[in-house]
Amino acid sequence: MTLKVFSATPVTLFICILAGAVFAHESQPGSLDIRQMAGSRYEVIWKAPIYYGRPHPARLELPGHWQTVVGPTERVLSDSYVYRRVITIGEKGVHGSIVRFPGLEGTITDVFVRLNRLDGTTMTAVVRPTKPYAELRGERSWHTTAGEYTGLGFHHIMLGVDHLLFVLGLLLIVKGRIMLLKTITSFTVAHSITLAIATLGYASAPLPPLNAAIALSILFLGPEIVRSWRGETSLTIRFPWVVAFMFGLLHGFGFASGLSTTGMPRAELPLALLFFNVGVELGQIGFVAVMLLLGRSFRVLEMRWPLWVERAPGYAVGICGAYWTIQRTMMLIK
Amino acid sequence: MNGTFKTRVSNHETDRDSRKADYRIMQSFEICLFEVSKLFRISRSGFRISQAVSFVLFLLAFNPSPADAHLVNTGFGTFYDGVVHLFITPSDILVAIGLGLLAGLCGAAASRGVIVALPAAWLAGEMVGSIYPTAITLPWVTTLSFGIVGVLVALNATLPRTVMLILTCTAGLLHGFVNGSTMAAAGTNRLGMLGAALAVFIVITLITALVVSLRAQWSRIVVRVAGSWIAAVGLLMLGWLVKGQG
Repeated sequence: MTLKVFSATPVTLFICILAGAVFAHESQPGSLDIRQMAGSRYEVIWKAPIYYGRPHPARLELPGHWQTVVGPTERVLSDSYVYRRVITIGEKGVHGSIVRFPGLEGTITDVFVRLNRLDGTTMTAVVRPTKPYAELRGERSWHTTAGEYTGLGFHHIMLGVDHLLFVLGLLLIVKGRIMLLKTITSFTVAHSITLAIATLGYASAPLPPLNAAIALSILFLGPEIVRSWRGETSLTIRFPWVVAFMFGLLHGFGFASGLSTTGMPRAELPLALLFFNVGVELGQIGFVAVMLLLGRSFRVLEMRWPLWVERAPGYAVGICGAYWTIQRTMMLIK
Repeated sequence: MNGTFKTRVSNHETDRDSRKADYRIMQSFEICLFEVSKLFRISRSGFRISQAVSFVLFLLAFNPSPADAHLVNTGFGTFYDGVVHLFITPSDILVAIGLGLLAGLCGAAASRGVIVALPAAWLAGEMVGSIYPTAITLPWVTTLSFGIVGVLVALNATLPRTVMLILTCTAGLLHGFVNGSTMAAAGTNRLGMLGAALAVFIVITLITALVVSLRAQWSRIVVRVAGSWIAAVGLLMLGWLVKGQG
């Protein structure tokens, strides 16, 4: 299995990647923190991420028996709008209440919901656009939480076109099955390390420079792909797993941005981290599997694509990497 | 005693009627298979093709019923909504699978054109359909299209490359048109349509290559059995449509 595996990747894939590029990294999650202050008094903080440069179309709809006593106040951050209010909850209590997010169903945003009570008990849930509401209940089975975080990780990688494009770039460079296995494994290990470090709070990377660095990692692969077409060699072509590991560390911090753990109960952290990573891996393996199967199919059918079609995926990696690098660097300078 | 006898006679008559009905269905299915096979066996003359095209055009014009404008919400954005739309629309996924099986049976040379033509025609159809966002579904025609493809697979029909391409483009344009119209009515943008066309490309490429790579004789029989299932689903759905109209 050499470069030929992907040399015939068709124009459709190229269009798909370019189209997907439109929504790269626009899926920052939102969050709703409900904190008990005293008795029936709660503080509600709704953080709605900026959505494609505009205020998020989803709004918060609290249950009818929750009465607002202070607020809501609005604070505009660089990446989100934060709405704070204090409420009192009637005799019905918080248990079984349903919090809704009308408008979320038309988006690609997930929302973390967390309830912290004074007695130390907590409840967390992930609200998805397919089910834009959360029922506040005390006890939830571990597999419900695991399923939510697996879905969240899968969601993050499938919408993170930049991560997928980096993996595609690696696939275009790699020669041989063993090397492919080594490269994908080292990328996985590397991003798992930094994802864990960032999630557990040992280190963090500010998002704007991180996104620029991730874009740079994709741009870096562009010339390497051209070198491999020309039959030249380089460190990346000889040892792609080293590059996959080094840049994988960066991408791990990027994945962590999709897993907001602020206020999450300590006991739930390892579970969330593990299953979020499982979701990311499932998405990545699925993408690699589809690419390999397509490559095999083209070989079986003896497809002969025009040269520009053959090279489109490689150019897509380079062009998108360059575009994002310039765009994100400009955002940093501003 | 007498009552028991009457019941037995009545049961016997019901069984007999039921068997007669089964026989009639089998007979009409056989006639249908025979007619379709006849049509494509002499398709090179051109006359039969023009008849078939006229028939398809007649059906296209016939009864374009409105649908419930809906599109699956995956929560992954419009692009993935379009991808998933293919897999939850039986007539679309079955025509893609059927054409993949048929092209595979016709060999690698015929398949190479099909894997490019189907998604391209599908996308073109979607673009045209999106101009008419009235959710036109044409259930008779879409059902008939995959049913015919299923029958051709079951018959192990070896179609000339040109006929295969015409069939592929017609099916792609038709299903794409319905997709585009339905998606536009549901407010989906072009990214969703691109997602659906890409899913069609992946499905047909993988299936075609799989069938082409099959070497054992029994594996071709398995493919034909799969085709007969597609034809059976088509027949069943046509039955539902007839019942729904009655």
